Amino acid sequence: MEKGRGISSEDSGSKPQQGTGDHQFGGNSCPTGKIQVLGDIFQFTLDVSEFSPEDVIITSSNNLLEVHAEKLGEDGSVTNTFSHRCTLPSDVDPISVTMSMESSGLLTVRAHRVCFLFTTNTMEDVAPPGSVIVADWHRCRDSKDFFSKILHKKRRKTFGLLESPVMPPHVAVDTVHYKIFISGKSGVGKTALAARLAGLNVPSVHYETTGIETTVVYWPVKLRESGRVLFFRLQLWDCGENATRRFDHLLPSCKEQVDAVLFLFSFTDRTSFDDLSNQIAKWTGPPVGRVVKLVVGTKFDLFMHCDVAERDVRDFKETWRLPLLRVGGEVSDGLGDVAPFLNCLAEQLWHQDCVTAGSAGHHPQQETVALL
Amino acid sequence: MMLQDGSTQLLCLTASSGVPLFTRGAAKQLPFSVIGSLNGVHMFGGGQGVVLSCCETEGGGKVVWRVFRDSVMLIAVGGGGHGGAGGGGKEEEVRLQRLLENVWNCMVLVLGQEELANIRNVERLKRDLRSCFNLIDQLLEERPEGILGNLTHCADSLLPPNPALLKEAVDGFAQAADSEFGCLVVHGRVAAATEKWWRLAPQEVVLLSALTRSLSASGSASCDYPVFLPHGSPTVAHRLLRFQLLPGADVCVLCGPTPSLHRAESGLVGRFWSPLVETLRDCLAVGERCLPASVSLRPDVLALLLINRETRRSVSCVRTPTRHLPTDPPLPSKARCWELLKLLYIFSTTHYFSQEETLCVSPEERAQRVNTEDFVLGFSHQPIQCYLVTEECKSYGLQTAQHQLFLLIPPSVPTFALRTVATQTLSDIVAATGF
Repeated sequence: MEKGRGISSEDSGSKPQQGTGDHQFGGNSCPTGKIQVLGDIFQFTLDVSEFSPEDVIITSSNNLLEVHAEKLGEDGSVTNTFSHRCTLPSDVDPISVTMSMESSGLLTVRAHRVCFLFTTNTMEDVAPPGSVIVADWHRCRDSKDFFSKILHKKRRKTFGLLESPVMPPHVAVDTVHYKIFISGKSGVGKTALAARLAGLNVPSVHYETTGIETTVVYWPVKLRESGRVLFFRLQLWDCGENATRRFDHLLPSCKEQVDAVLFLFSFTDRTSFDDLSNQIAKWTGPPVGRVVKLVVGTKFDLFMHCDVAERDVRDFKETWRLPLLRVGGEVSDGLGDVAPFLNCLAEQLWHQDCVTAGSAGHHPQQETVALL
Repeated sequence: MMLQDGSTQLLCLTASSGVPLFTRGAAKQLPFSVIGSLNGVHMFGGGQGVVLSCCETEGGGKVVWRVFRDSVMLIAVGGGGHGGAGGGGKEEEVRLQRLLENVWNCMVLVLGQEELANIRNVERLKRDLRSCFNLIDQLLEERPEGILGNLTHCADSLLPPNPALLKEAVDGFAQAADSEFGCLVVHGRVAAATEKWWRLAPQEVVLLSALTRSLSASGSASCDYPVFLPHGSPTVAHRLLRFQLLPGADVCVLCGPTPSLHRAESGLVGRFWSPLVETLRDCLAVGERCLPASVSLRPDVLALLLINRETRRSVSCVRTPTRHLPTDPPLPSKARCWELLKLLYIFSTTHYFSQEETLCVSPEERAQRVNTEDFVLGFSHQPIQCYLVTEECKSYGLQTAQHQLFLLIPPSVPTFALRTVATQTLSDIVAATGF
């Protein structure tokens, strides 16, 4: 005889495929679980006061978190059951998941999102995440029309140089162009990163890039303040490190009118991490001008071979106060895979332009593309 | 048997000391002792005044040696099993020799002759040679399917519906980029090029097409690659600028220090190519057929390879038969047709047709490398047509002063009709496209 009531519900922190998932930022509409995103912290709270702590079992596999609780009566029969599932957003770092249970019976699961902790007031030229553009906009319903332009049969669409996403005439969307240089040691994963961001096939074997290769990524972004939508055209410049040594003209060509630099290091290669400071120093100072700088740790999934400790990464962030992103692991088709990265990059680029122009909302490089 | 059937392994060593530089291909590497012996036996021959160029193993495998610039030795080991209709000894040897030649050209393309001919630091060279692996692996794996230029040393071409318009655009674009060498590559095949582009050595045209193809396949939007031309400029690098106009359609130019990639892309690409978007789409629509819709091929042509001997260009296609009765024996698959086409080419050119212009080597080298069998040299005349009937299909080769045509035809077509099919196909294509 089962007398207990059963609650089974499901919260999802990421529904990129459906594109309809209403995300509950800070909202408390769900009676059973509450998802909050506070800066880079993803928090999920659940009231399990009806159960004693030993009755609650929490399991997690990949990004799926399951909370299961069972209350047994005096006679051993189940008097109350409870189960709740929550999908962590794909940008959550699975290793950083912690949980605690308060005496009031509130279970809290916390995880760090890949976008990291910003110390807003100490760093003027870095925009805190979500301050300039709408974070996770790809999950909102109103973004569907825009994101459908960069997709083709559920996969990312490739655009030739003569093409660009075309919106219907009554929805005029400006396209802003940026040049981004990917810097890093040979074999660190520069080409793979460009391919991942553009939704291209990530090469399975490492081949050296023996010249410059550029990859174009279109990404729609909604500005937080004005609600205006823009297409960011990010052209990623990738150049093999050995090639830059053999041919003098390649590096200057990459640096010409560059808007941002991604400094790559690999979690499996300590020397690439140690060399970061040198690399960044080269891009700081008057001759270079204003350039957005982002640090990217690649091959984050290979933690068995991890050569760079979490503490070192933290210390590094303390010193440089630069946005640090992590990539690695299986490439999924969904936009959720690259959204945090591209949003972060777009946000910094836009922020830099606003700072340069001296007034928010005005963009100096604005170009409208009217190609087929 | 040293290797699995059908796999090829490539070894590269320094010619003077036999230090291994790299090995590619075949999942299972040959043991070091075997590599040492292969080098040793060649060296032993050298000491006796004998050049060892090829040998056959008991299991049907082949080993081919070649030394380039007295500096680098390349050894190809074929595991056999590449045979099939008329396959076996000679065909495999020709295939491997071509491979070695192409691999060397790839190495020069990426690194330049200087670094390869005068090895100063072996460790550094080893590291630098890794830059060539992408192209070399493509050669070994013979991908992508349907590209025959590596074998024929004729540029795989696609004949667009309106060639004049595209040619004009390529000319204008190249000129604006301070270059005389420009080329439009559609589906990995040359669709239009400047006059000067065709004056590059045939292998160079093939090699640059291969490079463009691999860059295009990666999906990148534009490239600036330093390249050495194995014949035209082996010691001074040029810049190959490549722009993906539409997915599958790339334009490239060979230029000097200017313009920069950024400038060429922002200033020139849109100006010259935006008006031609529809023309380019028509060109992409030609697809793997490589021939415009104005050419109607006879239904009984299964696959064809047409070479223009003067311009060193080729068109090839494999078709899916439309009127195939279920009662007929099954026709060879698409992949098998490409394989058969290659074998037919090698078979015909080694047995009957002249091949001299396809081997661009120095005269003294040619003397030791002639692939034509004694059988042909015994003729007082030049064969102009040949045919081969096997269980899988019938094939026909035809040679004129200007063209070579190779056809695969279903076995159901009577043998006496083959000649008509071939001559008519040739005249149809030439009349419609002027190829």
